[in-house]
This record gives sequence, structure tokens and C-alpha cells, in this order.
Amino acid sequence: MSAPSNLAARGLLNSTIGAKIVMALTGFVLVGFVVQHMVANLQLYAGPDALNSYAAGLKGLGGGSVVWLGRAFLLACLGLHVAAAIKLGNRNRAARPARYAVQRFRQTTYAARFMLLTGFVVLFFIAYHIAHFTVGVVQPESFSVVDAAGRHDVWRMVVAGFRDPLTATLYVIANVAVAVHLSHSVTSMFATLGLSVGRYKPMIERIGPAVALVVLLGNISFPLTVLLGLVHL
Amino acid sequence: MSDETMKITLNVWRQRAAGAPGSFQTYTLDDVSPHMSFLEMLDVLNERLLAKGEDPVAFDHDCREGICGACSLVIDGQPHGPRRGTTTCQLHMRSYRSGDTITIEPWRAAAFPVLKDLMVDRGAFDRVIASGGYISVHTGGAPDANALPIGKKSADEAFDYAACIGCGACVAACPNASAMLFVGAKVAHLAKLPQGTVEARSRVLNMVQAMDTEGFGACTNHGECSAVCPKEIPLKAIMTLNREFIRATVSAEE
Repeated sequence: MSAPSNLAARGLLNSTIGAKIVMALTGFVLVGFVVQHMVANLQLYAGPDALNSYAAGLKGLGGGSVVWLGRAFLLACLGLHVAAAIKLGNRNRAARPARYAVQRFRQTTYAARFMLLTGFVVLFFIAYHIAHFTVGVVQPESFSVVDAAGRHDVWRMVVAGFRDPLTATLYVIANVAVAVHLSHSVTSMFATLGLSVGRYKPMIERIGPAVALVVLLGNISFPLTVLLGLVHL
Repeated sequence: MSDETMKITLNVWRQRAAGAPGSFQTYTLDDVSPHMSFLEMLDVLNERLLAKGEDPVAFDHDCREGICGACSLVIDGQPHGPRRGTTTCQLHMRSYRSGDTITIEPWRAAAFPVLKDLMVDRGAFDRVIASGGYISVHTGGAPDANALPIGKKSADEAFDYAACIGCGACVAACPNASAMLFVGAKVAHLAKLPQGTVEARSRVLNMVQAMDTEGFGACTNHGECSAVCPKEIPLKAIMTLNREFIRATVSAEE
């Protein structure tokens, strides 16, 4: 019995488990970024100087090259993650062409069943979020502001942005989708890598919902505190 | 338990042949004994249908003692019916009440095409097994007992995975019609034993390729497969499959 010699040629993405491993590894990078992004944004509460100098420092790393390398890496991971998701989603739908008249689930969760849906909501939100705060085409008037030290006034941009109730609501809804996505996917990621076993299993089963909750609370606190007037210009 | 007979209404998927359009037909049985097994209840229905000159409902069954893996049926949306760790043949009508309506469907998966009514072709599982679900040993005289010591823990785990009867309920229950619990049980069973380690690498790669070729879906970690498995194969089988696959993929050619 010989192993399929064309496995390398078929590529990881063409095997179901291979594509799942691509999902898990890129997902690991992406969730790492989401957590880091939320924690860094907590500097909103430390005032304009803290957040603006952090942002200016980040953009100045390595003469500006580090931030672009990071963006390229994250976009590559996102692209692979979405490609694998579409590939697996199509495959999974094709695997059950005729649906059941009655189907009663025993174990699964809504988060698990609607991963593709929440994934696409997150994808559109990422596009909107980049257009809003990175490119500055959504609210250009609050994007092109500079603080007293001549730095991009990120603090003012965010606070002014979230004073619009519609924008703030959109961010809250999008972050609920992010949290629902993470609550299944972070746990699922460990399972796909074959790590949800033994004494780590109970911890891994809780890590998804825990990460989702922490990210949700952190992220929705920004629009909510601005809307409630706790953080104001 | 009451010996009174029950009135049961059945919604049964009827399909003349593979590829033919199917539909649900309703049948009513007025005198179902609570002592009957689910399949005996269907036997009674078929005798009535035959007496009326109608085509009996085709369904798979063999040992009727929960060990062969032939019986199937998605009963009210659950493969093998409502009881945990129980095959359809071991489900009894005492689990139901008079007046109940029960919907019966075949396993639904592209890889398990319907042959007739409630019977599906599970040959895809045979082809996955043929691709690597075996070990190669020398023939000849029987080896000495205990010549090959196996740790208690490994033996127990291997036996737990070997309990898989290949019925396909995992595929039927999975929202993605994935066969990864089945393939995981076979790979894990043999990987835990010294006889299986020789071919471990090629086994997992070949079986995963065969599984993909047959058109099964991919695991998204719902856990439905293990929850309906009549032999209660743990989800850990899929973890072992993933680990074996990763190990085989990154290791050098044999």
C-alpha cells in the first residue's frame, strides 16, 4: 500500500482535512489580530495623546514597512481563510443534495450552524471598517484631523465617528457577528488541529465562548461609551 | 408497561428506484404492540401492504441485535431514532405513545444514494475501507498468544474505536454529511495497535483521499455524529484522524 504520491500536487486546499487545517491556521492568525486590535483600542480610554502616539508609533515602525508587511500578511491569511471556507462550504452543500424533511439536532449550536453566514457578515464589516478608519472614505470630515503634535488624530476620528448613532449601531451589530463566529471557531480551530483531547479538552471547549465574550465586551464598549457620552470630544 | 396496542401514523419516504422522484406516504397502524421493535412494526406494515397487493417498504436490516450495522432510518429527524447508543433494530415501540406520528426517511448524503424507499447504497464506506482500513500480516500458523504485548490503555482505546459498525449514522446526522467520525474510528483503531503502525502513514492519506473522492463533506465540529452514534464513538476519533493526517503530511515518504 503506497501513499498517494500526488498529495503534495493536490495541495492542502484540495483535501478536506488540509483545507480545514488552512482554515484553522489562518484563523489563529486572524483571531490573534482581533484580540490584539481590541486590547490596543482600549487606549481610547487613556485619552487622545496615548492613542495617537501609539498609532503614530505603529505606522512609523521600520520606516513604515512593518505596518505594510503586517497588512499584507493579514490580508493573505484572510484571503486563504475565505477561499478555504468557500471551498469547504460548497463541498458540504454538495455532500447533501437532498435535505431532510425533519431534522432534530442533539449537539450543535447556532454559532456552529451559521459560521458561513457570520463569516460573510464579518468579511463585509472588515471591508467597511477599513473604508471607515483606514482609508477614510466613510466619514472623510472626521478622518483628516491632526492633533496638536501634528499626528493623525485617531482618538478624535473614532469618537466623532461613533457619535453618529447609525454608525455606532452598525459596529455593535457587526461585533455580535464577530463574537458568534469566534465562539465556535476558536474552539473548532483546536479541534481541527487535533488538540481538543485529554485534560485540555474542557479548557478548549470554553476558550471559544470566552474569547468571543472578551472581544465583544471590549469592542462594543467603544461605540457604546461614546454614544452614552462617557467619552466625548 | 401497558400491553395495550397503540395507534401509530407513519410518514414514510417512498421512492421507486435510484434517481426516481420520491415522496412521503402516510400509513396508519391501529394495533401496534409496545413490545414490538421498530423494524417489527415495519414488518407488520409490509405484510398489510403485501396483502393489499401493494409494494412493501424497502429498508435495510440483518442481525436485528444491534451489531451488524445494516439497519438505518432517520426517525423524526434523528438517525436510529430518539434513544442514545441504540440502533433502529433495538428501538422498541414502547418509546412511543398511541396517537404518535413518526416520520421515516433514508440516510441523506450524496455519497449514499437511495436505492429504493429507505435503502441507501453504503458502498462508499466499503471503498474507503478498501483504501486502507486493514493491516498486512504474514499468513501461516497462528501466532503465540501474548507474543505482541499491547498496553491496557491502547488496547481499550483501540477496542472502543473498533466498536464502529459502519452503519453511516454519523454521515446521516452531520449537517455536512461528513464521514470523518467513521474514517477517524477506523484510523484511530488501527493507529493504536502495533500491527497498524507499519502502514499508518499511507493508511490515513489513502483513506482521507478515498473519503474525499466519495463526496463526503468536511467536519465543522458540530458533534452530531458522535451524539447519534449507536456505538457512541467519541469525537476524539476525529482529533486522532486530524493528528494522524498532519503527522503523515509533514513526515517524509516511506
